[in-house]
Amino acid sequence: MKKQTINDKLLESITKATNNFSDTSLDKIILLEISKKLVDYVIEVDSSYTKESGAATSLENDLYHKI
Amino acid sequence: MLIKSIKLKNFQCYYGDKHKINFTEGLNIITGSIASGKSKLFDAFYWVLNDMIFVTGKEWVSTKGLGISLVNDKAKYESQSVDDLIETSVEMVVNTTAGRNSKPIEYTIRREYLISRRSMKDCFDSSTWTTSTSTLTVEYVNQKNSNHEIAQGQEAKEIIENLFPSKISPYIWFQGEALDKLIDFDNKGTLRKAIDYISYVPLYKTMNNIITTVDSKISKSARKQIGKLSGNVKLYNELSRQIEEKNNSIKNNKQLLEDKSITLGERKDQMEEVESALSALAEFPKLSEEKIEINNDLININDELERLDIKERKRFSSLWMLYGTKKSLQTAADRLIEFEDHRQSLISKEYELPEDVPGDVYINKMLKNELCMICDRPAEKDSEAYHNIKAKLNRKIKPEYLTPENEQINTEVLTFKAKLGTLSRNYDSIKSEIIAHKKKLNDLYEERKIFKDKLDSVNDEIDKLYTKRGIDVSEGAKTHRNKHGEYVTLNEVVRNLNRKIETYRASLRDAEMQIAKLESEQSKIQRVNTDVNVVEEEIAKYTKYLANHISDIEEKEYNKLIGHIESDANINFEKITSVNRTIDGKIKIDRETFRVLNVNEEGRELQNYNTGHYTLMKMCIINAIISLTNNYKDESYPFITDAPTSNLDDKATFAYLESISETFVQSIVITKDISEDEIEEIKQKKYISSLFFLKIKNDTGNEKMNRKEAYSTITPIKN
Repeated sequence: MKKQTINDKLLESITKATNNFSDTSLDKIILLEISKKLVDYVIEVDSSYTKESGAATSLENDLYHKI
Repeated sequence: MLIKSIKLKNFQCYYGDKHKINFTEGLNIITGSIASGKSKLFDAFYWVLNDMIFVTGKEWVSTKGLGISLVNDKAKYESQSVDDLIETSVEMVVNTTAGRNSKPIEYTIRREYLISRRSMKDCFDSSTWTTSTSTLTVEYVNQKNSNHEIAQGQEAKEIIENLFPSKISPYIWFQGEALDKLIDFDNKGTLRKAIDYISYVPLYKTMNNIITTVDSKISKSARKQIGKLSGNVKLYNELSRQIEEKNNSIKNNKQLLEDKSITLGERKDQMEEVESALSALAEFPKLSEEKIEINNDLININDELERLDIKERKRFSSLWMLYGTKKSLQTAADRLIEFEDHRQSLISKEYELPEDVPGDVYINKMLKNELCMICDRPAEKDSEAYHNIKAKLNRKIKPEYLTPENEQINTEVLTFKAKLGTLSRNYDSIKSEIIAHKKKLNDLYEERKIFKDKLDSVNDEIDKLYTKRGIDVSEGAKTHRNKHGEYVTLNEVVRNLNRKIETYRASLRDAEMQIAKLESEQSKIQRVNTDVNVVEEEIAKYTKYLANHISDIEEKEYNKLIGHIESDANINFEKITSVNRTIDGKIKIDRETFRVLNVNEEGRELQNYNTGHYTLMKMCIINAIISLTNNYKDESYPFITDAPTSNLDDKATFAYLESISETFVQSIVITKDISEDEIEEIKQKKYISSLFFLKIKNDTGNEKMNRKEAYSTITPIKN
């Protein structure tokens, strides 16, 4: 069995949390995609925290285009 | 990550360059009797990475402090001429495991130390050699361009930090004796740092920061769009402006809060370091003060002795002399008495009248009565008879020695005799005064001896402390004073920081409440066109939702991890304690203080556990942390330990070894707890992948091992 990576584990915890999400008319899959994107950015910035604001801007753009 | 091999050249007791160990996955055991080179091998692992080793009694000593003791004695002894160069080196090859986006890399880490001979004096004397600093190189193949790279200095250090992060390395490198120094579980930060490292807690923080930034940007943009659709654009925009202002203040305060929290963490770490330095130095001021006190007491005693011995002696010298004349004066007094007796006898003799002559008194009476009282005949005045009687008066002439001059001398002699009498009565008081003085002197000498003994024992302790720590007592006491000053300052800084942090938190709460109020006012303003869908508004729902949930996940993840550490540690603890009936209870990590406790089934702390017991609990937690790092971070670290089991009995030792063979992908255990005749039996144990035996030998056949010829050897038994 493939060992769970940080990415997998983060996403898993977010998936568990989003199961309760009902406060929107938007598709839950989109929310998960956003979460996945978020996790990817976090992994990207893990090596250097200074990249945070750049990652946040890209994430914001992604979020905007997703919807 | 795996350690593939280690190669030693002239390192401490390892002579020459033929010492190489190839390690395998699983449990690698290196065993040998006392002084066979086990700890030196552990030192080699530590030295190649950190440029220092742990010396019992001195703690961590750098290469500079170690000097030529790092270099093999036989190699030094065999040096024949001036300018001879001896190379000491340790080379370790490690393989990283493949990561998410990376291939495995092989790193060859090498540290080298050179000494050259300056003179032909004693080869074991450090002044005979010129030493240098050690050099570190790390060789590897760059994954990006396939180039063979050699990193040196800072670059090499960074690679090592990457391979063995300092937050986790105390759990990887573990020497039985240094356990308490390496991992102080009483220090709240120790476990917290390990948890931060192995868990995603810092990642959640980053995630939170990103989503919060996104949320504030999206919300700002959403308000802008909704504002355009508002029935009261002016009021809506004014409220938005105020919200933005509050958001900026929150952002600033959060930044300040984070900065201050980081500073607080750093200061607390510093404080803990200072605290442990203070407790490590505690003996110095105590001994130093004791020494000063005893020296002061000795000075006082010596002053008093000087006063009694020199100043009072002057006074006593006359008394002494006087007392010394006692015998002569006594003789003189006796002689005077004899003289007096003699004189009296002479006087009596001279005054003795013939038997027929009456004395002058009688004669005067006869003259007065004009009658001879001898023949009873009258002797009228101026008669012949009267004159005859009168002629008998003053018939004796006084002797010469009763002349007025001699009588004067006699008077003087009598006075002198009287004075001698007085003097002899005073002799007793002189004697008691002298005895009292002598006693006082003796008492003081006795007291001085006691204080000198005390000083000797304090000096002994100081010497012992110097041997143990290599620090002079006054220097240690001075450092303690400085550290205490540092502690007081840091304490004040921490208090101020806590106050500031509390203020920022209050402002944050305040700003958040005000934003909620402003937003509610905004929501009351009707929109002109309710059909227009504002996409930013929809996104903002997600970002807010995610921001809240990620905070929750962070909290839960953190608590879950402590639970994991605790339960993993208990699995090992139970395995080991099941073969050792003297140990019971369970491991519990106090969630508030991070202290490691031994509790009973009801969770109450047990009181009767000993050092061995506590060491075992710590080791189980270390195992749990390392094995969880493997699970959580998808990174495995080798576990390298020297004398981990010295506090355990045989059964518990093997249970412990078996448990670590299950916990770690690779472990290297250096131990004396397997004797030479147990080796064959141990070799058969499945959970042991490799077994090496260390022995000290020489090439001369001498039974007695001499530092000039003896060296350690490594024999693979199972590999």
